[in-house]
Amino acid sequence: MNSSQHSMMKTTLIIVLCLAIAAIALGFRPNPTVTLALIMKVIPDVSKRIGSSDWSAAGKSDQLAAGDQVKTGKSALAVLKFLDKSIVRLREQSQVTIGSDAAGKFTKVVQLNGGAVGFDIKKQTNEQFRFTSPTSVASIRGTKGKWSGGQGNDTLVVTEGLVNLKNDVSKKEIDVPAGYIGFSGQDGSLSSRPATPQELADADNAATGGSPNELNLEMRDSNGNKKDLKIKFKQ
Amino acid sequence: MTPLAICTTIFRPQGVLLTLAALLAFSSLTRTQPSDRVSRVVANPVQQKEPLTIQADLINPAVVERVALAYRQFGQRDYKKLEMAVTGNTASATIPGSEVVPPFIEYYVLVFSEGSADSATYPPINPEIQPLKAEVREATISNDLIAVISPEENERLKSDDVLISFIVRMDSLVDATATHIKVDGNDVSKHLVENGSLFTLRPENAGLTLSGGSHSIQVEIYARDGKELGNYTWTFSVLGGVQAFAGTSAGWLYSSSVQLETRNESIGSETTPYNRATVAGSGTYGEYRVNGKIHITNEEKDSRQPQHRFFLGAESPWLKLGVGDAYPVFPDLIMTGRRVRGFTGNLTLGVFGLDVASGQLLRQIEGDTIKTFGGGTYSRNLLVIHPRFGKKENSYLGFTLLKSKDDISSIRYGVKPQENLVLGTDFALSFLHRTVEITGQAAASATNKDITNGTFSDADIDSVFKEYSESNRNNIRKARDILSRFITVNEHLIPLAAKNLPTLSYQGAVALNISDNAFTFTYLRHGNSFESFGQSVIRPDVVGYSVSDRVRLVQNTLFLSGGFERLQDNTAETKATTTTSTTANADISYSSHTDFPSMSVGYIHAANMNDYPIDSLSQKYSRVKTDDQTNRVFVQLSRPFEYYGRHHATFSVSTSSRDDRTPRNFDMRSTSVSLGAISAYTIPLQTFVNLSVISNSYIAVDSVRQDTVFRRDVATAYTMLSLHGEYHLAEDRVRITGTLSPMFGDVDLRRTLVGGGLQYFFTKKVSALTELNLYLNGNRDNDIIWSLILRVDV
Repeated sequence: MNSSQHSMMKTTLIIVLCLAIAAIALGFRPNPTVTLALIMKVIPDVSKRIGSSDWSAAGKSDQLAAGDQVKTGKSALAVLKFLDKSIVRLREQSQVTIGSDAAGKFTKVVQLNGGAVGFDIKKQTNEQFRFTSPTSVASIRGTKGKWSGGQGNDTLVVTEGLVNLKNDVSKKEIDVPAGYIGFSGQDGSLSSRPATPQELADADNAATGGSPNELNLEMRDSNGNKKDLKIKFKQ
Repeated sequence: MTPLAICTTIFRPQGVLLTLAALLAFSSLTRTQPSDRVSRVVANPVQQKEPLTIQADLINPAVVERVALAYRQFGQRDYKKLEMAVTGNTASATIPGSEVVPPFIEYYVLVFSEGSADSATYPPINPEIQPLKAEVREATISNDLIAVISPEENERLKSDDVLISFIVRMDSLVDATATHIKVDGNDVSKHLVENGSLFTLRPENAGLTLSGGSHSIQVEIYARDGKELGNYTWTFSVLGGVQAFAGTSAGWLYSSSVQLETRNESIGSETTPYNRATVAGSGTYGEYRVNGKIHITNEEKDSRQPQHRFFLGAESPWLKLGVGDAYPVFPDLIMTGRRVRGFTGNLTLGVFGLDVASGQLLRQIEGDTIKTFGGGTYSRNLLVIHPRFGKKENSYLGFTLLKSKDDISSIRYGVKPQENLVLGTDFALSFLHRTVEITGQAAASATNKDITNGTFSDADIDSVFKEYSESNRNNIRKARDILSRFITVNEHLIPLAAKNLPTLSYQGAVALNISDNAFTFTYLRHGNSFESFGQSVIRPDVVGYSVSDRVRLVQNTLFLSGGFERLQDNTAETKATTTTSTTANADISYSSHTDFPSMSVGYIHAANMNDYPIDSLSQKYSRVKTDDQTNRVFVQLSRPFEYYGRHHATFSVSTSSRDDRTPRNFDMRSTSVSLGAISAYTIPLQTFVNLSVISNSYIAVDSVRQDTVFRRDVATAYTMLSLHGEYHLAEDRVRITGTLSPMFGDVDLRRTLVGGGLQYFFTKKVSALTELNLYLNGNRDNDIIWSLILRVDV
């Protein structure tokens, strides 16, 4: 290789290297989309609070951004779907605040103010998903389970995957694997144990929206009228 | 899109947005350059990463043995080759989407006639230096055009829970308001709610009642200039008892066509008639599909490979089966583009997949011992099996076995029947939503160049290896016993030695698709004796790498790209010297949204060099010695405008200069200037006008005697003018086309094409088309091609 070829090759490699660095620098940036989640389902008493506005009735296809809140009344249910397809199901008498945190990795945050949520969180790539309460932080990476509490003592049941649970009072951390239940107390305590079958079934029901002992059938007559048929059975 | 469809689209009231796309498609239909072998080449403009299909209409296909497509990306020095599938007088090949990158793909067509090792090319003059170009548009949105949020692909949910939502990877070129959505074929776009890049639709707001069973959603995305950027279709199922009560089914959806063609070609003093019939049909029942095709032609002869074509296939979501002529696709080191007559199948069971092809690669042709004394062609059978673990579109690991063997008993008079065995593996790894993609494949071949006498007997081994010790001969016998289960083992087996792994080939690539960037690193090594009977056009004896990056800036209006490639030959170290080829390229493109023209400027520097010594005159003029550098610059401007219709004008200049630094001093310079416009007028008339001026200069050596070199400067220049028009009348029942394409200048192929066509639609689905093309060849006989096509669609 003569000197001119060597020089040309060197110059080209420098240009390509610069382009690659620019590519990486420009590429890993968070999506500036404002909307974080959609309300997929409301049964029947579900309210939303957009920003600092008053509470109002929530409906299917409502969009939620950082700071927005959703709460459910008695015997109510709300299903939220994030744009990464993660699903959070609010059980009755629950309240959450949707948030995001762009410091470091882009993070979606669901703050539980009270009640319980089931979750089916898709595996996060260059983002994070986090449940918080005044007491605890649960960092999720592709898993299912149930998160309840929000008013001092929190409970986490994991049915699939692994969750890192941190107590903000004591700063202790533990990993809660599938089949386990974790407890985080406002006194700083943090522990876990194998979950009972009932606890796991309840968490799975909360996460997936179905009951392992219940079959839902939608019926329609010749006039087009629809009725739901629920069949409960024992295993 | 057929010309009729283009015209119909343009003159619909709402067709304005689609006019430009139609114009671009129209331009692809009218690339006409006088040639003895190819009358027309069609390459519709595509978006990057979309497969690019190139179709060539052949002249006198009766004497064509095979057709190949040579292509390369911008910035690449060497052309890759693909075998083109030939049916009737049409040859076509598809360049994989992974190789289709902006700003264009350069290509030319090679036509091999029977009994000739040389090929004719299209374009006929300097195809490597002045190839054809297929425009590749920038992907204005990232690879994942649409991200579906709900309902997800194949999701099963209750009808009340259906909320359609998706995200479009929006950028400045996307016209969000033009987004279309169809649910079960019903256009419900006006009920679509847009919020930035997020779109939602509540079926109840659109009056949709989703009964139990499968439903489909189709989303179409458009650019601000009306071009369709892409579409995505997915299905979901509604649960519940409704399905059982309603029992609804769309039933069979089917389509079919019959085409009869008679064609007469008078080329020089020879006249060849062609009579062809094609019947095709397909039927769909839910997720199941059957399709079939029969093509009958009078070109079918025992002395040629099959010209008839037939195929019958059936598909379900997890199984595809086919019988007949097929072009199965396997890892491209092993098999792409070859026709197989037999069985093809694909099985997909979750993360397991299996691709199989089995049948006849070549038909037997008896050797001629009377007229030409030519050796015949053995019947060559082939079996390819490719199990795959993982999902093809994401990450997977696959293995391939190819076994192919000539049937010795198929003919009486043949020479050197052969056998081929290839084992390979391929994989793809995809991370971070395909932000990082790693692909690779490797294959090793064994070829026996003459299996006439079969596998070595013990006596043969004793005779051939008589200088070896008895224990070594025993080892050879053991190796023979094992290997002969897979391939005939004798002295014609390649490889006989493992030094430098001459029959091993591998290649891999790492692609980073990060937001506005596309970075690719590729490494390849093809052994000089690697051979697969399923792949006839792979380049052997090359090793090297390439890197390229393409960055989109300023809201996708400015594109920068750069690349570097370094390749070497002599992988087996059997040549006198190793030649190194390096290519560096840079390109800047501006995509205008205003009256300012879109622009593209590119530069390529290519060098080839080896250290072959020059000690004698014969070495001075030996072609083995290589030391040259080529600089190439091109500029292209394009701009749409309106004047009694819509027009798209393009002006381009390309110049290249090669400096040969060897004593041969074969310098070369080439320049082309082209100005063209495609137009759709307010009357139902479309035209294509193009003027190209091309000049080449080079040095030719007539002879070398003692120390005197007899050389001369050669300069050629020619001008091509292409005029093409298409006019519709009688409410689109009649379509008239006309072409005038003279070629002026000091070239032997000076000729003028005068052509015309008339298509009449008896009904929307029954039409007749006749075309007449005259090639006025100056001092030679003129050529005449006439055809009549009757077509019925059902």
